[in-house]
Amino acid sequence: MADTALIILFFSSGIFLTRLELLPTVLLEHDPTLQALWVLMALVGLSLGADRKLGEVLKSLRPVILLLPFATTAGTFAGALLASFCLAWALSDCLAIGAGFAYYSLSSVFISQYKGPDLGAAALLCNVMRELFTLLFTPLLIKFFGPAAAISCGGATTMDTTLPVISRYAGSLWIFPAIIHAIILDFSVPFWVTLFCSL
Amino acid sequence: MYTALLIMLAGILLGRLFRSWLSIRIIRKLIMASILLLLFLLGVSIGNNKEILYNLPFIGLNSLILMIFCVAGSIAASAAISPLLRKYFFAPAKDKGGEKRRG
Repeated sequence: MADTALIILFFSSGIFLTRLELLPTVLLEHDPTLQALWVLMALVGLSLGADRKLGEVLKSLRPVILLLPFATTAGTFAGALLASFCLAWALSDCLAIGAGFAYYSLSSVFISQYKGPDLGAAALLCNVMRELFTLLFTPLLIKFFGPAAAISCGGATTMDTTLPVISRYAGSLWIFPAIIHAIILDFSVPFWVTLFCSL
Repeated sequence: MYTALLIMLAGILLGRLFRSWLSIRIIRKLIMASILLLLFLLGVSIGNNKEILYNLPFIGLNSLILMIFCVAGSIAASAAISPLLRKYFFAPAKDKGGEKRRG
């Protein structure tokens, strides 16, 4: 939650400082976004490659548990497909934004770089709202649709921000599936977003 | 477009090779810092673009609708597969529960 607040703070202070013309013009003339994105991607790669636990977890995996991230992916894309009929955005835009799976930070910077800042803002808002929705409605989701639905709803956040609420209401038995679910989705975000941005 | 993806793949390889020298905790902190920088820059580019700025409520509403569709799709799909999960993942929960948690 603290991370989400920090992210909103940095994003909105970017808007306000620019509106108030408090920023050095160098920043506006030579936009360093692309280079910063490359640094971020290198760091994300390093963190995946250097993670010992990741390999162990993937090795000990029972294939049936992959059904859950698969269902989240398929369901999210099906939802984005239906949404594209009633929204102003093209199908590939909706899919790219949906493919953030609540991992708003990475997906929004990616999409703003390749599809423009308006869709970047949309990706940020859409995926932040997905995280907030999961935090708020996990108890209800578990009651009416079961623990799998709550984990699916949480997308790539079910190993960090939304894990406490899921383990509390779904029981500790679901912690392991939730973590696997998030690892798979987390890893897939850059691939899906790049794919849909190139369509 | 694929430059970023290639850089990430190179990062995975380097991370795997130099695993013992790297601290995941520090890398995670650096990731958070660069994400904050990038979101600040996204804010700057939106602040610079009056059209997007005035469109922000509209963008927000569309994002909300898209979120609801994506979440509904996920819930439907996971509800559809949860009998399978119960049958093959949780079925032996009583005697194998401990083993599973350790994995």
